[in-house]
Amino acid sequence: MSPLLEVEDLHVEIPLPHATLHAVRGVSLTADAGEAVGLVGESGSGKSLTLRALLGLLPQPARVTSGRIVLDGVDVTALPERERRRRLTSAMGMVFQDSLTALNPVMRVGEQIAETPRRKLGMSGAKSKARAIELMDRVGIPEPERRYRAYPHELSGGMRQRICIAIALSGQPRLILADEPTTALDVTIQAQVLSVIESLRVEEGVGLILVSHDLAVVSETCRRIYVMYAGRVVENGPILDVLGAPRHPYSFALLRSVPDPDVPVHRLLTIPGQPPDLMDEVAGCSFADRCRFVSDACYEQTPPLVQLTPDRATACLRYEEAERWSDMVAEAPVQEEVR
Amino acid sequence: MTSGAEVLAVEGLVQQFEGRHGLADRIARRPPHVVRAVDGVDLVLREGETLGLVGESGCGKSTLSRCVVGLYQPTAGVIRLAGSPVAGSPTRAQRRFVQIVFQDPYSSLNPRMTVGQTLGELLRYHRIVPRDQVERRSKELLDLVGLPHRALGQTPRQFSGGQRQRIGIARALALEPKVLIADEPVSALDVSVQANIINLLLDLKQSLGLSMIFVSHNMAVVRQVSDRTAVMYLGRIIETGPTEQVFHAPAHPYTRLLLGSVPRLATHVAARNGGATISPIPAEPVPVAAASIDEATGPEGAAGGCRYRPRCPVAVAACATEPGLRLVSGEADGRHRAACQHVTGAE
Repeated sequence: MSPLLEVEDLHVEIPLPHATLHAVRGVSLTADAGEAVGLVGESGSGKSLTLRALLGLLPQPARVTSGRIVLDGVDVTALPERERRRRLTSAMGMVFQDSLTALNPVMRVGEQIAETPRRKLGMSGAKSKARAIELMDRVGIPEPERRYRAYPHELSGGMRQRICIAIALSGQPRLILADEPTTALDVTIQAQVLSVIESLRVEEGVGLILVSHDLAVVSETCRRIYVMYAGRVVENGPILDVLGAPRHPYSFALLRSVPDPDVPVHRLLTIPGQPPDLMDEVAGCSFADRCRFVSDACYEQTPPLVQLTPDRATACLRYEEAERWSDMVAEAPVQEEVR
Repeated sequence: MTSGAEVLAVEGLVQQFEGRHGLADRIARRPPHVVRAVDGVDLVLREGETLGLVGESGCGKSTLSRCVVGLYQPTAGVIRLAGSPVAGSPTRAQRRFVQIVFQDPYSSLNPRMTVGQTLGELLRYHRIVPRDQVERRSKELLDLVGLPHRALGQTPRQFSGGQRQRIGIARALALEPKVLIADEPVSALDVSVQANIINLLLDLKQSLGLSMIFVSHNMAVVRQVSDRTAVMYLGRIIETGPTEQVFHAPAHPYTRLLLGSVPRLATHVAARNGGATISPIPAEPVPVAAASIDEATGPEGAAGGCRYRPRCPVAVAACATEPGLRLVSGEADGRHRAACQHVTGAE
């Protein structure tokens, strides 16, 4: 059986006055119904653009230059624009990072939720209102009848993000795309919002693609993870495998640069340098300049995404040495830029 | 545990802001809407120590740090720098004594001044070095924060977020402060860059013998950098003590909620559970959070009692009176105190 959503070799380019920024460079991923998939990477790694490309929500003038999006076994990229949009938007709902700008400030939040059931599912006014109140209750908004008439500015950040989730759910999607849904929220509110998303997934079988720069958030929510760097997926696999035994130096370093709230002071591992400029074609491995374990071959050959097991892949030429990376870091701490 | 001399002390600090009080309000004799962002805070920072200040947005932690550097004139209370109180606006020497690194490295640097001008202005105005030495000293500062010398001729927009934060740190260090206040210095940065800046701050603190107040909403970061931790809630410090104690045995229900809400890496959890592979998803969706569905209500919501009472899962009748900080354990500087009726120690 084919997965719910399959993305193959997606490329996104942003034409600029003097150059073209090749922001997403061949991303492939799959997501199944009821499955939570995480997409992590630094800002500029192309994770948000990938997500937006799926729904046709790319900011101007970015555009998809090649790749396939397969939904329920049908290649929607080959369909006419209208049909493609209809299929994609009815299957997926999106939750954005900043709930204040994502909501219409002059429209009551309840009406914003009821809009999709009324327009897309053809519900009557009364029915769509009942549906909206039901959804508000579902995402844990107290007194949904009263809050139906509230405007976005009258609600707190956590409440607004719940409204956004309710809107994403209103079209009865099978997959929710969430772009950093909790980054703007406090930790206690973040925990609440994540548990709402989690219970929806478990109880209603809605799939989730969660984009985040926070490895901990992804590890608490998702079963599989894609690590992105400079527009490419550099490693993917089941979350515990990737976090437990990373096979790409970028995931390895990223894991060690995150402070742990339960462990007293240890020195954080840093990743020297900066990601490559995506205006240029990068020769060889895009992480080579920042990699601790780099070899000459890394600069010459673009590492292919090697399938390690059926559900695990890495784009590193030297992944076979990964077992020794921990020892190598311990033996020779790289000279930091700061004296 | 460091127990050096006191370098900075705050006593009973109150900072209130008045909301807009228009003509119509005055005619109707409506009292101005007053927000007490900081509502009676006591703090002591000792030499060579890092104090972590945590809390959610709106708890007053940034206001507190801005009061301490003299950007706000506190409504009430005393700030003492090296034993001498700040009267009104701080003197030039007092400004040199405490410096701040701001959260947003994009908006806290003048976009039209080169890095050299930004640093040079400070060095000249405060007469840190003779005028002919300004350039040499600027270069030293860049060395200190790990930026190349050519940065002097460049403007902030030519740098990445992490580099700009380094410029922000160099700017703060130009005045050779004794106390450095870092107000969410890494929350605008990517994780890999965060680690760089945290390590840099720790190194500088060591080598320059700084004392530091590290303000953050990120519990994990605070755990890594601070000797002592103070937790703020709606303008008050509700728990304070050695970092180990506060994180290991939190006494206030709010601190427990905060710590319980921090997302954790699945592998770390697995490692602590004796290496057993567990589901990365907690079986129950974070039970602590359930009690707090209504989020922070203002202190007025608590109507005089403990300000955490409306959210608190263990509130009792006694919570109608606001508790002061009570002793949980330890003594002298190692004291772990919490403002909760359930803590039975002396006030």
